[in-house]
Amino acid sequence: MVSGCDMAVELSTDSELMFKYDGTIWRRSRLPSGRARIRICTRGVFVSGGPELKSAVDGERLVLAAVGPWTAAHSDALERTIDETVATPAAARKVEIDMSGIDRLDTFGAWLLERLRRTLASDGREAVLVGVSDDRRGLIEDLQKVNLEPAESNSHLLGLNWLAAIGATMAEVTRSFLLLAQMLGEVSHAGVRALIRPGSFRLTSTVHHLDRVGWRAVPIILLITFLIGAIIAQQGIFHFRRFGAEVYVVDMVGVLVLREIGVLIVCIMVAGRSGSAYTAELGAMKMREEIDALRTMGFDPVEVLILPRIVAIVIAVPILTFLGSMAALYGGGLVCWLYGGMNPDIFLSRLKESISLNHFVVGMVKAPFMAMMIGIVACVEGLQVKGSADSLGSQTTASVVKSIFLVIVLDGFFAIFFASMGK
Amino acid sequence: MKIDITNVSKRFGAFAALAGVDLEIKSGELVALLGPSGSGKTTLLRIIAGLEWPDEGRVLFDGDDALARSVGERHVGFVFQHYALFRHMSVFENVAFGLRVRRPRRQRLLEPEIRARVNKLLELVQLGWLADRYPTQLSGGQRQRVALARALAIEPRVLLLDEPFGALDAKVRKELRRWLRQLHDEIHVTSVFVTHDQEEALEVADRVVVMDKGRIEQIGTPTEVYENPATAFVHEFIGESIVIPVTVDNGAVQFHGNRIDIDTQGVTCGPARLFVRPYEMSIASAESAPFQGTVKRVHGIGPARRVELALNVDGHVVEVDAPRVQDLTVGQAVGLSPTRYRLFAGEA
Repeated sequence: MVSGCDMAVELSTDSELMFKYDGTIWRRSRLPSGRARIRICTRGVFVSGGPELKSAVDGERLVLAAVGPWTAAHSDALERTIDETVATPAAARKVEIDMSGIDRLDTFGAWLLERLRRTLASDGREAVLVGVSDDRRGLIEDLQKVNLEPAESNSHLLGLNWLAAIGATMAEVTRSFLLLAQMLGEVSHAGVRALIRPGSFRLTSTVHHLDRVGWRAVPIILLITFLIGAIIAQQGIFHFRRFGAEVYVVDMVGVLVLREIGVLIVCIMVAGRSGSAYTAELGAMKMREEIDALRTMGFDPVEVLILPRIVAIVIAVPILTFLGSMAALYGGGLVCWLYGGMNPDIFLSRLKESISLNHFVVGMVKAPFMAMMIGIVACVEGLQVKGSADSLGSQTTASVVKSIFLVIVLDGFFAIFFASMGK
Repeated sequence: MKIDITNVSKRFGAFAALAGVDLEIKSGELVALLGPSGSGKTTLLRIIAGLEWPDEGRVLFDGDDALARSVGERHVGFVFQHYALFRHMSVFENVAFGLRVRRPRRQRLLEPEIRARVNKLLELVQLGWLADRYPTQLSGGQRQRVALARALAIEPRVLLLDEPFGALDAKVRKELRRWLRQLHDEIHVTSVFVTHDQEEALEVADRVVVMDKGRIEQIGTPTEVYENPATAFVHEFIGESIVIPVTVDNGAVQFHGNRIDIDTQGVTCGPARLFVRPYEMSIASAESAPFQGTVKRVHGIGPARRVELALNVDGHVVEVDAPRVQDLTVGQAVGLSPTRYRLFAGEA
């Protein structure tokens, strides 16, 4: 005999196969009729019948009897058999899958049977596996426990989580920019409507917010900018003294305060003080469904709640910037006098020489735009609050962080803009 | 006003809040949307109001497409669970708010008219004497009545109430729902209210819509949904039920292999559940009854006593109402036979 070859035989009836090879009698237990394969290799001869799934209707039950070897070697035939069985729907509601006729079973075959059972069960039929011998019970039970839910993404195995995180963050950033643009549009729309019909503009509310954002912020803004001006002057004097260039401290204080520091410090203070308050107020109203209540009564929340707030902050911030810049110059002058021994008259005349109106204008022009940015970020974040107090807190934090960040980014753009304008 | 809702669906991400809901609300009707949390009832209400837009389907107000209009143009009165009153305004101002700032100047009412109308509304909700107080000075029940007056101020075509009594204590809740029913009989505005409290829905509504998992399980009068529940869910959700798992085989009901004398009610084959109201299960002698059990505990006051029984076969505990005159002792073996029952296919 040639080893390592397969040969197909036809078995006419259920028969017992027995043959002699190499002095040993090889025998396989009863084989079903049909095709069988004989495999001869150096270690012996293996004979098997093809796997089959016979169906028989017994009363209201459908019995599917699995016979033959249910192993991976017969995968083609098995898959075809299973597909055929599933494709021909039976009326019976109860299906028994009889496993007693299986002579060899591996995980592949067991899984096919379990899959068949699940497919039938998902069609609303009651499918059970019967005739499970004790040695196979463990395998079948394990398979029945295998979760059918779609496997979780295994991207973490490939170390691709960071990629997914970057994607998610980018999507989130895009979304928040779109929301900002949308809010800008809505506020502009409401503003134009208010210009056309001044009667619909809520002046009382605007004045109320102007009081809170502007008037009540004056003391703290004055204090902070005064200190910042003083510190800049002190540092300037301390370091410039080595070069005998103390007098240029006045240039530095003037330009820095009027162009950048004044407006930035004010905006950061306003973002922390009023932006967060806007977010918290709107968020609390959202949580208490007051915004929905306004909408059901036919009001546009943007017109009623947001426009007065934005108008108030856009008016307040330039005023605060002006006051803040003055306070910073005053602080700087005071330090120059007391710490640097520079006469106030010299300070003022030097200031007059070193700065032009341009520096002042650059600072003041930026203020309303930054105010608008803070107001819009705060209102968008406020309206993003969901029903819980947690979300209120996190949105308030996000509001402050985002508005300060965007204010500084905007400042950068302004720097480029004014540089290219030659101012 | 008549409301027609056809095939409305709404998804929030992967979660289907509403899956093809059809509902018709007649003019002047008071309808309750009843269901457990997450059943989509609030979403449906918010879609009717215009606070939420459906992914598909149609909502018609008197035959007009309501989805083409924004919430402000629909003229709905909405009462929120947590009142949503404006805290910096007095009760009077809260109610007057909708009238005072109504947009086109020509439609705006004159101050004396507003005053008269608000006072009338506050009388209607029996709070005329509280007009100058602020919302924080009122009790929950009073606040909710102010919220209702505010919703009614704009003369809405539909009144929508989202769990209006959910945040109130039990006694006030009971009072208010009786009051709401009276109010509705007085003003006859088409009203829809959402609740998870079946008692409230059954007491107040003309019709009850029972919802579960974004679908309508049954629509009917309170008596219909209670007496003839359409599905197992409705039977279990509304009123108390004793549930016993059984199997139907060859046209007979079997309980743990023993055939019992119970009609299959059209259930063909497979596992089923038997639903019985606690007062429709009679305690009889052990031999003839379909179920046998042992008395575990007898308690309760009033005309009926609550009897806890463990079924003999599987130890399943059921609670049955027994007349006070019936003599029952703990440990006694008794039989249980349902006088009226429903059988629904499917496993628990």
